[in-house]
Amino acid sequence: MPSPRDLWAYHSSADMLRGVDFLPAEPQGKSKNTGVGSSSLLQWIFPTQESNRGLLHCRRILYQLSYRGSPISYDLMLILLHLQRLYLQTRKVIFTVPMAGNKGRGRAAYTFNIEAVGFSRGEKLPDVVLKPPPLFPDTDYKPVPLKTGESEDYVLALKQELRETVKRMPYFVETPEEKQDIERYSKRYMKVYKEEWIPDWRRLPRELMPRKKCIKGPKSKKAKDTGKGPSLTNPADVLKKIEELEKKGDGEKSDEENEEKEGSKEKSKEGDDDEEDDAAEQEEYDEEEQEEENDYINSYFEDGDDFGVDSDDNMDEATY
Amino acid sequence: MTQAEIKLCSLLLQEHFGEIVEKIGVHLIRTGSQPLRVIAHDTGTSLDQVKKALCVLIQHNLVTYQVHKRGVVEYEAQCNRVLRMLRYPRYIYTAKTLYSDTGELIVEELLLNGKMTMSAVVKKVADRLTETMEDGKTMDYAEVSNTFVRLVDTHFVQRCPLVPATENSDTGPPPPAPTLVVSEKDMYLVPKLSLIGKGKRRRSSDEDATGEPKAKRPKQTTDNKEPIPDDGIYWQANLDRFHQHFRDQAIVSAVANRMDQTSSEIVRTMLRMSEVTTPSGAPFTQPLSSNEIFRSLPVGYNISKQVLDQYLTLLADDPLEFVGKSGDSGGGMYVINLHKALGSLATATLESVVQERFGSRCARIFRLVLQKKHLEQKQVEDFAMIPAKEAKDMLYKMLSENFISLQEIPKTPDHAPSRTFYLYTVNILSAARMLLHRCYKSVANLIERRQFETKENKRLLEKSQRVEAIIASMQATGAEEAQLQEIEEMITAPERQQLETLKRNVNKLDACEIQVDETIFLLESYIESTMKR
Repeated sequence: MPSPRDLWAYHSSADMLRGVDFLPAEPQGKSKNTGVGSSSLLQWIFPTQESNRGLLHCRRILYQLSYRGSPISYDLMLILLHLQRLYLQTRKVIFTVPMAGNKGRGRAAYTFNIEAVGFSRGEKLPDVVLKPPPLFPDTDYKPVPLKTGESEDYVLALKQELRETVKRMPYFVETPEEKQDIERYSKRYMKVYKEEWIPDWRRLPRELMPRKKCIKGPKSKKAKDTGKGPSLTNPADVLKKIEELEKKGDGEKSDEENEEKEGSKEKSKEGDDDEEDDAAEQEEYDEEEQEEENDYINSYFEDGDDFGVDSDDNMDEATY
Repeated sequence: MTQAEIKLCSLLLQEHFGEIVEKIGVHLIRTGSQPLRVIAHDTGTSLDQVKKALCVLIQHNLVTYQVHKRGVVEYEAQCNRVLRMLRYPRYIYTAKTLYSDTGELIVEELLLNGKMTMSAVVKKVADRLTETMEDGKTMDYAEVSNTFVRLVDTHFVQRCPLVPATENSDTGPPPPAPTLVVSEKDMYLVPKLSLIGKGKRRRSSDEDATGEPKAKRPKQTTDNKEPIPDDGIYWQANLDRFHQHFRDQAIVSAVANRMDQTSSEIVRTMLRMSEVTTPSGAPFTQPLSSNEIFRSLPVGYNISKQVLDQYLTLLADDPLEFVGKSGDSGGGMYVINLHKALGSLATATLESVVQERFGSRCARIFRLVLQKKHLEQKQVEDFAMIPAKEAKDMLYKMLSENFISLQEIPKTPDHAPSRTFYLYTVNILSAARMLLHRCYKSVANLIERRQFETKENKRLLEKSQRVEAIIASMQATGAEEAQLQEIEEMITAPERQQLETLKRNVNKLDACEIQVDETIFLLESYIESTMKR
């Protein structure tokens, strides 16, 4: 049975250890039995169970001491520590700051005087933080209020107005909406009117020009001359032809990038085909394409659109 | 490009141009330059949409293109330019303060449309101004174009790179993309335009249109028959010049705070004198003699030459070195050290952030380290006269937040900690970068929060809009007071309260965005000017 004096001795030695090398404080319950404490000490001093005569001897001494429950004297501790340093040097163990990672190598130690960093002897080190910082941390100081004034108010109004204006500009490309089963009456009034925007194609790379919106210029004349081969009078035929061309189009496009001459020829041909479609057909064509795009887009953008529509009903409810 | 910046770019693009453009833009920012096909494939967007998005982005100068060998056109996003969208309200406001409403609308149109021809801008602005005027009054084109010319003369508006005149040779096909040429000397050259006419009101009915056919007829004929005189010459807002103006304002107000109103007025005069002659990235302004400064002082300022000289010496002696003396000829030559000034402003920003985040005692330590350059921990404790334990705590807190950095100086080559000096320093550049990064992050957070708030209350907002529309239309038709009140009551009291709260929150978030952007501007210009050296 350990006497009270033993207990004190153990503590002081542990403290001393901590002062030099940092042994995390042992839980209170364990220190009741010095035997356990010493054996853990042993573990700490000689991290591996390697057979080494001199060390083994030391271990035996230590073990006997712990078995008998007698305290480890200060001198002995010093000797042991010295031995430990030698041992570790021969094994070229690199001393590191203790981290969660190297628990397996026993307790790593600091090579510098911990007091220089500001921890006095026996003081508990802060725990290792293993979790991310909180999402909304408490602030120690209240933020300074925002600047207010006439100019700030004006800029604020300007910003909010700009945000609304931008939505009405032709540059705001909206995602094509999904087709609703029932066309809402209110939808018709929610549509924003946008002006047409015709980019200056002279400033843009040619490939950006949409094919169906070919500029009717001198090009069309040339096209008329060359592309009078098959006479497509039947609208159905025309559609078929377009579809064919579309399929071909993909292949042709990549060619175009390599061979410029080919590309330009192809272009004129396409221009010609567009030329032949009259307005009605073009509309049909557009619609088809739109639908294709829609299928894809819908799965992605289920934004608040239906919310807005439903609000019709909700509003009634809220009014009465 | 950090994640925070990309996130902010994405939010800005989405707010300005919608989801599709955002997708393409962010993809380009992430991956660098890419050809059209690859963009369409990687983003899984249809080719037509990609084309449209790219057109929009190019129009707004957010994307540039380049022809590579074998005729492949590659598109590259200008991330920094995208981030400038945050500052649009401030540019517009600046134009208003300098050139009143006309200037405001010109800059607004240019920013909204990316680039425009002068005739288009003038027409649009005149129309818009006419609409806000009283009945019977109209805005003259000549007046608007005058303001436009003034904006160009002060470099706030500049020409876009031109498409060179077509060589129309038959040899080979035309190149896949035009090469844009910047001609330095024409940059601020306004073409001679005879813009005659008046702004028109948007007509509400056909009757109105037929009522004044005279004004309309000649207009249309000029539109259709004559080629537009400035066709192909596009103009854009010169953001660098705006930034220069912001910087000058910041310097002037800093001087005013440090010394007094008169000295700030002297600095303002100096800055104005060298406004156009000094390139925007220069570290110093052109040297100005005190005689020149004296002559250029605003008329209302009655200070004698002696007083001016005293002020200039005082400014030159100031430890912040906003004004420097570069020579003695001509009664003393003075320059404004723009680089130093930006450095001081950035440092002051850092100091105040530390003060507001960690308290005044931390700020004391921070300033101490800033002043003494390198300090050991013990020295910090002693000089700051703060108990060792607290001082250490504060020092480490600032170290972990990267406001303060640690410099190791080993005595022996083995870097043994016991034989090493640990010196604390403030690396202003890296701290500014860290702060800038956090600013980007907070703006992104603010935008997200605002979007969330509006989305949460979408139904309520729509309802209030509708009710307002009904009331407006009923007022127009002359409804009775009781009827109007009845409609107004469609929004219940709690709903009204909710709307109030929402409005307050959104206003606050928006104001935050604007004011964080001011900090962003300061830090950015500091970093930019430091990197140029």
